[in-house]
Order: sequence, then structure tokens, then C-alpha cells
Amino acid sequence: MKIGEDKLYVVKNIKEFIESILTRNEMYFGKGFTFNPHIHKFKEEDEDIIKLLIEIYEYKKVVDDMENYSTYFTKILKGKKAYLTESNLGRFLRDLKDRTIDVTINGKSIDNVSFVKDDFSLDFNVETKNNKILLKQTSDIAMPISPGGKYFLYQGKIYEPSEELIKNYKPFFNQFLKKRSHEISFNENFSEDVASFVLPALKKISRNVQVDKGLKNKFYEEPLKSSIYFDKQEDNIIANVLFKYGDIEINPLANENKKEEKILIRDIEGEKRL
Amino acid sequence: MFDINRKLIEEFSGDTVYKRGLKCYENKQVKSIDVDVIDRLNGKIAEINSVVKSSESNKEYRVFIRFRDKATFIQSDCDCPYWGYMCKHAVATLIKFIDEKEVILKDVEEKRNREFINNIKNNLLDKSNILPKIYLNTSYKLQIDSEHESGTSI
Repeated sequence: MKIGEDKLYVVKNIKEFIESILTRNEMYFGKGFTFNPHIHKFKEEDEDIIKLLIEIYEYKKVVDDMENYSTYFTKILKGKKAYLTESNLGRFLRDLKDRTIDVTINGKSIDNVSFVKDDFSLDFNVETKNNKILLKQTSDIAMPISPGGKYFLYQGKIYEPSEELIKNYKPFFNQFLKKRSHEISFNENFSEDVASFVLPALKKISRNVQVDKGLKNKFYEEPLKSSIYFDKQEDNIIANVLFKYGDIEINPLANENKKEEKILIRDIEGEKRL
Repeated sequence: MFDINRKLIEEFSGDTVYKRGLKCYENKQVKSIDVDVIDRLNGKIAEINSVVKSSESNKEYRVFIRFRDKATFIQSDCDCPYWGYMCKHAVATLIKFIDEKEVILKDVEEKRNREFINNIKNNLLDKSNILPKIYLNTSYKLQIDSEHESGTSI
């Protein structure tokens, strides 16, 4: 954080700065600037961020007062840094309104980062190579920047995507992270899983999923028609559910269904509704 | 991937322990082996957990081994009573890994992909957004503990 009238000065001790605001005492920043709470006022656009810092200071005071030993003082305000929880980060980003900020992530600086409360769109490519199905994220990886995975840095912007997008992106991100790669390869025995689960999940997080022609030709896509058969067995009525895709029938309760030559794209969400 | 070899294991364990470990392996005392491959920026790390049957009794020992892709150091730990650096159970586990590396690593890949598909499947089958919602009632209580009965100085 920097403050000043014309030239801006680094706030080297945020805790003391908040105390000077609250106690209305002056704070010396340098030859050209001394903060005087009696004459200096924050602009309307900064008020919410100052309020946030005051709240963090108050929280630190409550926790510090609970501890009897000074060495255990919480370090959420330490020197020029204020450590933010994920909720604090959300508030800070929203309080920035339309302003941009400079971000340092793992030592790398990115200037003029803006905040958007919107879903990001990622690009993917699915192809067959050496009898394997290869899934590649062709766009950059959207990188979570808070422990709960609510905020992401992607293409020079910080995003707060919908919970639905986060839920669906999470398994892909975690898999890429485990592999330290933008690719996931599947053996051919995963073909139906890729068609029925991976592709529909990809379509929820991306408007650009390229599937190579060779793979597309193997897919079998027909609308889901379901049937329920009722059987009376002694005093019980048993319902048997059958999902039909064209000529292919699937018993959702059977462990294994007959394997087809074509790769069936199941309408999992339609099956779920039933 | 993982160019660990029998010679390196022999160097780490010593001749006697190596021979005993080889015997354990040949007697099929390695009951289970689970490998996790961790990708790091500076290379891959293998973490092996295995269960090896004792040569003298029906006891089973748990072995943990960790080494890098270009293995120059092998970290090994076993809950058997042996006091030296690498026991015969760790040696037997490593020989099994070397001999069956391709199948074991393929299984690791399959296991990872299966977990990945299951996570996606659970998301797609998540019923929480189609279930009817019930609104809860709430009540709160504020407890104030002052330093003195008449309050705290301000």
C-alpha cells in the first residue's frame, strides 16, 4: 500500500498506520509527507478498503488480547503486509471497483490486473494418438490464488467464477497439477468414460472444445429414451429402469453393460433427472 | 522413467541384505505394492508403499521407499526390527518394482485416471441442485464479558 498527496510513499507499517487513523495521531512518512488524520481524508473509492484494514486490525487486537505472551501476537499485520483470508481477498477485490492493481505471484510481477466476477472460458483439444486419447488444455491454465479456490488468475485478470464452473474445473486443474502438464492421456478402455463424462464436463467449462474427426467418427450419439418396467413379486412391486440410446440399451443398475463397437455418448444429466 | 537398478540397491543395502531381499522377492513375500509418482519441476519422485511377509513368521511388515527419477539416493523405512540402513523387505520391494515397473506404472496411471473420471462423474451426478430446498430458522445470542461489572475503559 502506498499513500501521499502527490508523490506516493510506501506504508512500511500497516498496523501503526491504522493506529494513527484510529487514534488521530500523525505519522511521519518522509521529508515531503506526514499523514495527519485531522486534515487528510481518504477518497470515497478507498474508504471500503481502509474499513477492511481496520477490521483486520480489530481482529488482530481481539486475538492478541486473548494471548498472555507477547511472542504469540498474531502476524496478520506484519510490517507493510496485511495477510488476507479468502473472504478478505474477495472484499478487497470487489472494493477495488474498476481500478487495476499490480500483482506479484510466486515472484513474478503482473501489472494492471483487473478483477472480473465472471466465468473464464478455457480451450481444449481432444485427439487420438498412438491408441490413446489425449486431452490437452490449449489455453493457459487458470490458476487458483486462494486456498478455497474461489479466485483465479487467468490471462492477466483475476476472476471470481460461478460455483458451478469451479466445481467442474477443479478435477481438471488437480489432474494437470499432479502431472505438471497441460495434458491427460487415457487408454482406449476409457473411451466411453471420456465420451460420457469428460466431454460433457469440458463443455461446462469451455466454449471451445475441439474433438478430432477420427474420434468423433467413433462416437454414437442418440437422444435418451427411458423405460420403467414394473414387476409384481409376491407383495412387492419392483421397478426396472432402462436407458435407451437408439439401438443401445443401458441398465443403470448393472455393473457392466454390453460393450459396443461405437463409443456411446451417454446423457448423464438426463439419466440423473430420471 | 526411474532408472533405478539392482546394482544400486546392492550398493545401498550391502551384499548380505541384498541376497536375503532377493530371496524374499523370489519367495513372493511382497504381498502388495502401491506406487505414487509425484511430478516435480526438477523431475519425478517415486513413493512406494508395500507389505512384505516376514521370512520367519506370519507377520507382515510395512515398507516405505522414496527416490528420484535419476536415483542417486534411496530413502527407505520399514517397521521390521532390522537396525541397518536398508532391510531385506525394502530390497525385495525394490526388486519387484524394477522387474514389474512397466505394469506397476501403468496401474498408477490407470488409478489416477479412474479417480479423475470418478470426480467428474460425481460432479455430473450431483443431485444437490435439483433437490427441493428447505429454509432454516436462526437465532443468535451475544455474550459480553467486561473487565469490570460497570464496563471496559474506552
